[in-house]
Amino acid sequence: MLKVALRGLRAHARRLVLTTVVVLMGVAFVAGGQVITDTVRTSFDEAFTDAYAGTDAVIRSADVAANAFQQQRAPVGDDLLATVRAVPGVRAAVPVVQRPIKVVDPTGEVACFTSVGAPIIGLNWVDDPTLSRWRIVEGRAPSGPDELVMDPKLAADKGFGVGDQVTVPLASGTQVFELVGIASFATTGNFSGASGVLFDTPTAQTELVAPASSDWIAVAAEPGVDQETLRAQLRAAVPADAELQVLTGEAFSDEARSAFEQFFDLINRVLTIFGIVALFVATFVIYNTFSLLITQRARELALLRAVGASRRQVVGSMVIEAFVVGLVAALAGILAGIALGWGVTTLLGNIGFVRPETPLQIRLPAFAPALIVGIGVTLVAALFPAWRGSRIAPVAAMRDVAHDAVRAGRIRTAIGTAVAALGIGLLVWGLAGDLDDPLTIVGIGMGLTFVGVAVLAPVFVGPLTNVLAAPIGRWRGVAGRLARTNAARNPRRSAATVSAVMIGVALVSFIAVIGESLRVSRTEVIDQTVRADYVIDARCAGLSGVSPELAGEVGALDDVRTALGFRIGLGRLDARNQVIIGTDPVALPDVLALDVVEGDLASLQDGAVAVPKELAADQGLQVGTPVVVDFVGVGPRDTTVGAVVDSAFFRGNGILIDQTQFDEVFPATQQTDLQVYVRLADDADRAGAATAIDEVVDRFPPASLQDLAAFTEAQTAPIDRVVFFIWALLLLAVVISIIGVLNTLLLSVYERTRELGLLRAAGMSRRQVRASIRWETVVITLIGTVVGITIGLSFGWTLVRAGADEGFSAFGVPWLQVAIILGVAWVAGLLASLWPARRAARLDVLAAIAHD
Amino acid sequence: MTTPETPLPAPPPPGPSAGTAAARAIHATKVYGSGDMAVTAVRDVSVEFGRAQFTAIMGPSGSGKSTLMHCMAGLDSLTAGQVMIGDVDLTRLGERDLTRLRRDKVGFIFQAFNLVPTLTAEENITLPMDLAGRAPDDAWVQTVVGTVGLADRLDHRPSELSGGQQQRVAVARALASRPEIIFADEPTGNLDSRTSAEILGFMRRAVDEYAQTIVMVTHDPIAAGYADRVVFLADGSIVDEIAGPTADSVLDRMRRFGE
Ligand SMILES: Nc1ncnc2c1ncn2[C@@H]1O[C@H](COP(=O)(O)OP(=O)(O)OP(=O)(O)O)[C@@H](O)[C@H]1O
Ligand SMILES: [Mg+2]
Repeated sequence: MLKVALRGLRAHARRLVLTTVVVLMGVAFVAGGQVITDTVRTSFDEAFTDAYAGTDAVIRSADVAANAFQQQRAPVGDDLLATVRAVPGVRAAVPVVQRPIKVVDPTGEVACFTSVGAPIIGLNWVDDPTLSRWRIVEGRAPSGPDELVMDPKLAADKGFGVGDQVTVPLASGTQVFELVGIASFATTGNFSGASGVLFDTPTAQTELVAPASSDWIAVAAEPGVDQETLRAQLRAAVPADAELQVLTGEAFSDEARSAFEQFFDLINRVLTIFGIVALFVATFVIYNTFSLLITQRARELALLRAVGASRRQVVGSMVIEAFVVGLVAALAGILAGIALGWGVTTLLGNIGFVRPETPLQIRLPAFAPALIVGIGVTLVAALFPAWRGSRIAPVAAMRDVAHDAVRAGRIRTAIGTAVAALGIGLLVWGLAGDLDDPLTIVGIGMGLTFVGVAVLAPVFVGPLTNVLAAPIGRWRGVAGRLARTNAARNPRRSAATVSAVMIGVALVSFIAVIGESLRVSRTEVIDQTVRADYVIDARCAGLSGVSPELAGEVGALDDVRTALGFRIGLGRLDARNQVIIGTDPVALPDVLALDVVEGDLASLQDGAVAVPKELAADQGLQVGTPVVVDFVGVGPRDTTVGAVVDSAFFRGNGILIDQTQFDEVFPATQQTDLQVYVRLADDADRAGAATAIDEVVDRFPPASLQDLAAFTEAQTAPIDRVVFFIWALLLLAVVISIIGVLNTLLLSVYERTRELGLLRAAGMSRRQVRASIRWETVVITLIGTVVGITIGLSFGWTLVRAGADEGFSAFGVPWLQVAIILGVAWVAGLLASLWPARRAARLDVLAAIAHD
Repeated sequence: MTTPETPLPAPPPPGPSAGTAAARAIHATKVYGSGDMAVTAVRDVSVEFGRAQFTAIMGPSGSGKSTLMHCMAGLDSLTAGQVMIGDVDLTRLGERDLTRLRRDKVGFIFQAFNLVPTLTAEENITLPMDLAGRAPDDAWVQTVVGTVGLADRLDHRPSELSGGQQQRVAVARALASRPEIIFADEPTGNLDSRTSAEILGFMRRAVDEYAQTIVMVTHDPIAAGYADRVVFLADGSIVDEIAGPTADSVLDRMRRFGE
């Protein structure tokens, strides 16, 4: 039987090519993702090892608070250095500064980290060659308050040369430095894509942290002193009450690494999920191929049964075929994945993200999942057709095989509905319930819904075809009518093809709906709550913004009623991490609609805090409740809740304190505004005011002036980026489904060879044959698309309903995207039809009639 | 050569006395469909096929010949009645046992599409043994292959063989596993008279030299002339029999039915 299977495989090899391609693509994606993450991870590991190889111990503050985006740790003072250097076993100890920084390039553009792209980091120059891996490659090291050096990549990208003046916006104001040298990090130039700008230590400390303070103290041991011993000595020597942490160099390096580790794990997971989605779509393509092969080989299978093959043997032979296809596709997919990994990491290498000396990481065991999934998917998808093949009665060998009757029975409807209902149930439960891992439940729910709809598909494909194709039938004559009857004639086959398209399209439109709903919700919130006319934004990531002088100067303009700055720090409220927003509570209602549920904002001037109502509900806070606010670097302070506010704008995040109080507790680098909201006077000359404000803003890089439209745009732009990114990943699934359409049509043309020959003999022109195949393809693709869009919109609607308190206040249908999806589907259908149509049109009439 | 027509006794009644029969049908009835659409293809047929006998089944198109044969061969199930191969009652067998019975005890030759297109002639011949996981009896396979004259074509695929050669491979396959009985449904229906004569000659030799039991459906009086006995079917029932038929006697009988 193995022989029968392998021979069959060889004979049908060409008909299995596209199936193999489809599995290959999915596997390549999974395997490629693995190679990329492994390589990038290794590169980062090496970079960290490089960076901290000479650091034997680190002393830093234990006072730290963090939210999802940033971390704030209290600095350590230089007064500790003398103590540290006196500890036996210490060879050297230096303060280290490492903070985000901005640089104005020669064209006037501000380069900084804006949550996309590579960070630019400000550092202090350390002479000790073991404690720092930066080396001067041109010019000299910085010394004094007016000098800096930078890495070669940043210099080349921004067009700086040694001797140039470099403008750097700092918390204390914009300063001009001289570029006195170029410094390269280890052998790679920059730190895994992050650029470095280095000042001498006092300058870096003063401008980026605080005078005579640093982020941590790096310690190098005397030869022969191991890290753990050093750590213990240091621990004993530093004051115990000073909230200091002493780590070995290794632990410190591991910690830095593990922060990235999680990030890479996440990336790998995301890539794997999309690979699985692609393979899920591929399942339908495989299923269809094997179903078609079995129909085409029904007589052969019946003959095998007649001469004594058991059902098991028939299933077995099909399974062997599927296994071989899966194995070949998975192995080829892994090779393609390695090639993909090579391509992407080379690209990442060009931007410095991956070190050129890091070899492509090919760990064979890591490919096991890709291999298993590739083979597994093929087997699972082939199982049902194989089972059906084994049900072919032996008598069929002697009779003409009856055409797959339309058995859209009640059982199918019942099963399909039940599975879809279960899927939707899981989806809703996952979205609404409080689950640890809602994503898995939601994913399974969606998957089941797709399967349910796919099971139901044969029931609705026929009627839908008639609706969609009726105009084509009328419009394109015989060819159109043939296209329509062909699309409807084998509902099960059309259904599987339709389902593949449906899934890709559903996910694409689902993401589009989420994006649109988020955008609409966000826009709505801004419309309803922002009373300011302009927003001045510091744009760069980090806690350090533009000097408060900006708000002061803008506020002093004639046409401006209020210019209110917002600054941000991190801390803890009753031991839970919180973002702390400093502003002027009295002026606040001028620029933001803020519902004071309870209490009075004016109380903030006396040192009270305002909390959002969600937080109040969560922690049982009321006006007057005593709370402990622990500001990083200052320590706990007793205060009370002065107001409970309800603002969609803050979405439950962050506690408000008075600006004066903020400036008392946070360092000078943070006494800067991240945003300034500007409200014009009622009788202002708007155009004149804008020009006046712009003139001020220009003097405070990197601030930029946005009117409300631009502000809204800037607030929603990240949503578009994410939607676009997910779309790019989903493209694979969509391409696979289109290949599925192509595949089905090719196989159908093969199956209908004789029929096509008869039609041609009866006088149908090549053009008509092509047209009929073309319209059949378009109809099938469009059905999949329409059903997919419907499902995608429904999923989106469900999510938006369930996520009302997660920032979804409105449901938005992305009509433009929906139209684009329909248009793309139409074109993709046309493209997919080219090859089968050509095939069909070029059949030799006589040979076709003789074809069995 | 003409044999005088001898009226035959009625078919022997069913019962344990029929121990020598290779296959028997006992009050076999096959109805397709149900209700208004019901078609009785085989109507209360009782018949025996003796060991080492070559029986031909004849009758007008639609008379139920193929249906009867399929049911007797375990390819299809009866609506009522019994079918025995040797002393095994097929109506009592499950799907699995039926498969095994077909594999080990029954051989088939169809009118066309007898061969698995992806296997060579030789592989097709040994297919039933391969399926059973049994090693073919090489000497016997050689004999069979020699008999049907295929020795130099064994490595060819069906598509590389003529229709006649394909049928010879089919005959060889049916013989190769030494089944208790071979069923052939119009095995020469697609062949010219010379090739038909060759194929029928092989079947005849298999009966004479190797004591093979063969049941063959045919429309061709000349083909029926090779058999030991002809059974006539009309409208699902057996209507007549000729023992030791010749082409002429069969033709004569067919004319009388107005066929
Ligand atoms: N699968 C089926 N479903 C319904 N009716 C059937 C089926 N197979 C056969 N029949 C009917 O049963 C009757 C006998 O058919 P059968 O194929 O046995 O005839 P036959 O004698 O072999 O004819 P021929 O000489 O044309 O091959 C016919 O009326 C036929 O229409
Ligand atoms: Mg027949």
